Parts: sequence; structure tokens; C-alpha cells
Amino acid sequence: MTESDRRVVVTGLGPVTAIGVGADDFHAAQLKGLSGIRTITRFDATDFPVRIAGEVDLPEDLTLPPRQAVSADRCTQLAVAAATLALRDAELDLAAEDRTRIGAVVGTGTGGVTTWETNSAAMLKGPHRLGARFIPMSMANAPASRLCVDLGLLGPSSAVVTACASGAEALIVAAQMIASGEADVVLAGGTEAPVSPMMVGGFAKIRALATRNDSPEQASRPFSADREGFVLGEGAAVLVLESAAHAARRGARVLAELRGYGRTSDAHHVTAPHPEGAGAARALEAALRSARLAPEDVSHINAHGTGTSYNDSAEALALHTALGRAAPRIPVSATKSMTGHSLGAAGAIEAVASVQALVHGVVPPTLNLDRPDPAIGLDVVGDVPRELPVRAVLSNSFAFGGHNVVLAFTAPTAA
Amino acid sequence: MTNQTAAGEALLARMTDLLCDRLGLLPEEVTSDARLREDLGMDSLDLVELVTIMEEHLGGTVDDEVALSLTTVGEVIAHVVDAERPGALA
Repeated sequence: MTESDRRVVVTGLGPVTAIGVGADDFHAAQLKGLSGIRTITRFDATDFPVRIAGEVDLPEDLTLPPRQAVSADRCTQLAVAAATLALRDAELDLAAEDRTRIGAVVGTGTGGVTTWETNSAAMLKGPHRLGARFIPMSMANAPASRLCVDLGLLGPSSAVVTACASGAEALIVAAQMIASGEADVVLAGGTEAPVSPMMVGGFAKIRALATRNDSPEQASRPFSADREGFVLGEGAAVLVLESAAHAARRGARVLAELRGYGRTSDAHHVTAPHPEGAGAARALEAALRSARLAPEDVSHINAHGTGTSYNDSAEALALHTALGRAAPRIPVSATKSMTGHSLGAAGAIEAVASVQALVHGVVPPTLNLDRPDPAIGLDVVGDVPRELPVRAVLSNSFAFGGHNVVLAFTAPTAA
Repeated sequence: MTNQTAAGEALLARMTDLLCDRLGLLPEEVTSDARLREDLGMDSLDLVELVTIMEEHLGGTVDDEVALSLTTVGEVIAHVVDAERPGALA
């Protein structure tokens, strides 16, 4: 039997990022303005044009033991850590729940790329040398599947693959499961482990990446006049979403409401955003309508803010188009200035940052904004976090492929 | 006989390394009488990986029938020792 209040609320946060692992560490790192970008250690990048990235240092208690680690690509291992943290944060006792009513949706841009790469090398010696777990470890739904198997989740589960919007879109898919009555609780988020030779080499090849190899912490410069590309970052985040009725019944602490969302397609180019941000603007407008918010109701925007020339200018135009006169007055942050760009995890990581801005009443900083791009025309919050009442946050995710996703979070309200 | 035992021990040490590295087993678990499924908890994918490890070591293929008949670490080692005898894979 489903319950009546199908509003979707956030009750647990599990960020796993290059600047902090777990809600408290991640929040503290944001306010300190830490950079997680460093010289790559996950592989020998000596001969690569780009030798920097955000890397996650998983604490021992979140690291899978060897027997389980050999069957999970790095992206799945990060997702398991994120889910563990989210459940802990939500104080959700799965043993006391009807697990047929609990699902999982985990987005990823590329799935198990390290597994692909090591098996491609083995394949050079012949197909019989492929690892037995090559397919199950590299498939994009492996992280979602792993959560269900490990936690015994019996409700709906899925993976979302929309490049850099995957993590945000996973929350929408999860919210729809809850709103429709298909599930009461969904572990939702994204994961990515892109610090691999093919991914770093591939993004460097199309000149998408910043090349400040000698000053990694200064490399990710969203909305800066001298931005030169994004910086890849490993990461994952899982949020516990549940129906307001279910959260109330178990006496859960409600952090925020996922009040609405907007999704559109650019229908323009596979990598370049629409030059005027037309698709992104429509997604923003759709999110406002869906959440029943006026532009002046928006307290804060967590920007997609990658630090590429194209994205940041198109995103700024989209914000001006969709929010009109309110746009220049809304404080904006770009989490990727600290974490790097975690592709299919970014939208979920930034959803966590958005919820934390609501909960703590503080807008986190954007690093490396010493020379703001005058053409942006937004109130991008620089080095110092800004305290203010935060009641509604929009979180943008705009992807390769032209997928635009905007999430609207609000402070929890009574039914 | 002595040579065979020494070879078997050397091989056990090498296979132990490979099984720990590739299947995430602990060295103390990998004993001759350890049963692959019951004691080591290996599933069907682990068994395919085990055969891949054997084939890499031998530089040849292991027949499916043989692979399916292996139930303990000792049997795996014995098969590899046997297959490594000069001419065995010819």
C-alpha cells in the first residue's frame, strides 16, 4: 500500500569527492575552499599533455575488502562507499524496512572504464585472455546493481547515462519512482572514475581539459576570464530520497525537498553547448515551473560551471534568459572549482552541495576567481563563503550530447 | 618424486600469488585441500577467471571438461603440474 504524501524529500547525503568523503567532511572542505586537484597518481601520466586530476582517497572503513574489490570497477567501489555513507547519514535501518519498496538509481557517464582499458590490453594477446568479470564490471548499470545485491534492495533499480548530467538525472528518475508510488525510498546518485589513460587522453585530445600541470590547485577556474578547460575528478554521491510520508513515519530528519526539475535537449551539437544556452534556459524555466518558483524565489544557484570557455558563457546566458532581472542578484557557486569535474557523478555531488547550502544557510566559494570574466554578469561567490538564508536552490547539469538537467531543491515545508 | 614435490610447492606459491591478486583470496585460504566453491566461495565467474589464470600460466587452453572437474586448489595445481610436463600440451 502506498502512502498519501508523495512529495520527494532528501534524508541522507553520501558524497565521495576529492575534497572530502562524507557529508561533514565535504561540507567543511567546501567552506574552507579546498582544492582536490593534484598530480595524477592512479596511473603514470608522465607522457600525457594533462597530468592533473581530482582523486579520491577512500578511508579504510569504506574500502572494499580484496575479495569484493576484484569484482567491482573503481566506479562501483566509489558508489558503494557513497551509498554506505548516505544510509548512515539517513539513519535508515534497512533491516526494519520493506525492501520491495526500496530502489536504487545510479548514473554514470562511462561506467567501468578502467576495467575496459585493462581488458583491452589483455585482448591484444587474444580473446581467451579477457577477464571473466570484464562485462559485469564494465557495464554502466554495475554500480546500481551492486547496491541492490549488497543491500538487498528489491524495488526498482536503474542506471542513467547522460554524460555529465547522469548524476542529476538519476535523482529525477528516483523522484519519479517515489512520486508515482512505485517506491518509498530510492538511493540515487552518480559515480565516475575517469582518472584513467583513455579518459584523460581522450578529453585532452579534444582540448576540453585545463593544462596547468604545474599548479593543479589553480587549474579549475569556472567563470574566470582566464579559464582554459575543466579538470577531471573522481567521485560519487548517493542521496537517500524518500516520500515525505515515509520519512515522517520513521521520524527521519528531512534535509530538503526535491521540489521540481527541468529537462531539455539542445538538439545542437554533440559536445558544444548551444551558443546562447537556449536549451539550458528552457531547462531552467521548466525547473522553476515544476517547483512553482519565481526567479526571485531562488536563493542560490549551483552552476554546472565547468571552467570551459563554451560552457560558462552559455550557462551565464541561459541564467540571464531564464531568470531575467533576478539573475545578477542570485549568488552562484561552481563546486567543480574544488572537486574537478566528476562527469556522471557531478550532478549528484552538486545536489549534495545544494542541499547543504539550504541546511546550513551558506553559499560555498568558487576557487580561482581572481579574474572574473566580465561577460558573465552573475554574482559568482569567490573565495569566501557567504552566509544568507537559503530557501530554494537550483542545481545545473549540462552534458555532452546536449542533455540539460536542472534540479530545484527547497527547504522542507509542511504538507 | 622429490622433484615433483618441489615443483608442486613452487607452483602452489605462484598460484597462491595469482589467486590472491586476481580473485582477492587471502594467502592463508589457499591450501591444497581448500574447496573452490564451498571453502573459497568462488562463483561461476571466479571459476572462469581461475581457468584464465591457469591458461595464462600454461600458455595454452584448458578444456571445459577438465575445468568443470576441478574442485580443490590441490586439483588445480596437479592439473597445471601435469600439463607442464614436457610435451603435455603438444
